[in-house]
Amino acid sequence: MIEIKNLCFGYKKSKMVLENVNLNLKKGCIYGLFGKNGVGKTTLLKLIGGLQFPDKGEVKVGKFTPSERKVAFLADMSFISEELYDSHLTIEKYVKINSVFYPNFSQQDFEAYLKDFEIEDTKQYLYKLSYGTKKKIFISFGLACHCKLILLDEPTNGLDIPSKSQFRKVILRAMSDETCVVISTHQVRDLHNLIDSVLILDDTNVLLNATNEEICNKLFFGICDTLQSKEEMLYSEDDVRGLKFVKENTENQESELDIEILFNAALANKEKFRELFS
Amino acid sequence: MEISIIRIKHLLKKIWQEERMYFLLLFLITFFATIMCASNQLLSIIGISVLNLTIYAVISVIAFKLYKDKNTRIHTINLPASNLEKYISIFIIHFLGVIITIYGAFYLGYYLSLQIFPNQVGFPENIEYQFSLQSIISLLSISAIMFYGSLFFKKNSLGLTFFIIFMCGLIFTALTYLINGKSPYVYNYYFDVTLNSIITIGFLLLTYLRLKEERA
Repeated sequence: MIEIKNLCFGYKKSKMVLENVNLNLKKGCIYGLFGKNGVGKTTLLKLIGGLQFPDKGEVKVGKFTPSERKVAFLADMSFISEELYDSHLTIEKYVKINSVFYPNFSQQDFEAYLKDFEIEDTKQYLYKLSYGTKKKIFISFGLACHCKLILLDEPTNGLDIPSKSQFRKVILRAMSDETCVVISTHQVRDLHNLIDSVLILDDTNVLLNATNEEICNKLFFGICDTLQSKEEMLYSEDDVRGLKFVKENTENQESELDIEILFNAALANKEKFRELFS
Repeated sequence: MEISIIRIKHLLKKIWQEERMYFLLLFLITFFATIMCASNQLLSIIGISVLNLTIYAVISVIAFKLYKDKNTRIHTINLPASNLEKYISIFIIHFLGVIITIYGAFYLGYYLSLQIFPNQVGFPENIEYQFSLQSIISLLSISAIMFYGSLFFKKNSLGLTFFIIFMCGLIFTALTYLINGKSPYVYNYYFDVTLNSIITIGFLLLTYLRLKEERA
């Protein structure tokens, strides 16, 4: 669904953010996009969403080139950014005047998502609401548009704890075989049991792009006694329950993906990860 | 080139719903200011001059307000409408709409003030000129430059655009003096109207081309 070929981009000529990035993202998947601060996660989302233009290379979403900003592409793409749109309208009015641009918008689904987020009064003015509440409204609206491409930049920032689990629920409800979701976040625990593929950006390029299944086939995540030898471990860190670690899955054991450990391990063993997942 | 009258209608409705309070305020201020100015000869002469300046200032500040802040820029770029449709909608509301609102309020205030202050001077002497083709084209040309400035300069668009116009005028005058040894401002009606028409169309076109390149 999303094809990126030799993508290069930098806000300044002297400092490239992305260099020769090649990526294929499929429909029917929820991708978690991770990386250190300033590595280019939001930039990559903006390039996919047509908000920025590549310096070199190509980005294709289906048959569309995002930077051309064709109406059909924009009507089938929902970008929920970290910065929220400020409006002096009520929730009801905002939805009424903006939903007309999205042919697949469902008022019923929007109300259902609002209900999940425990928002009932749609006559409230948007500008009077807290950041977290506005976030829930824009997430609900974005998902209710039933776009094939959904891009979310730090969607759980500002959400309270119950809302984070509701967020997982509404994303899964909005998901279909035709939809591709890319979620950029630092809050790895919020995406637990939600994403099915992991994308890690590092040093202007993609360090890891693999499904959860592929990762768990090649890596083993476990917890052991702190006194155990760390020789085979790619990465380990102390936890209240012992020593959390990740190592190569040479014995084809099953384990549960730990995104935080995976991320730290990938950054600590870049060449090894490139070799394992090439 | 994608263009849909229905989408333009939706865009106009959207922009109007979000910005109508500004237009109401603009109308009321201009209307009451006109009536107040009519009571005094000096004020009424100054008022006419300030009228066009108000149009330039308002266009510069609000025309591309949707593209000034990052969050509104993201929202506007992502809105499922073509650049041309967005441009046409903004042009109708924030260019033509501002001029019509201010001049509409002015003339309404003017005709009402004739009833309240029947012996006023100043206003009647200048009204005929305001209606002339030369005055309208001149207004449109500066407004078109302010329109472009509103998009080009994300901050302080009013001040920066006026500064650029002033500097261009200064450089043009200096160059003409150097070449010709005389002022460039020899009045010629047809030259004036033609030049202003070219400036208007040129800057409106430049604004559209600039809009296509907007990023967030």
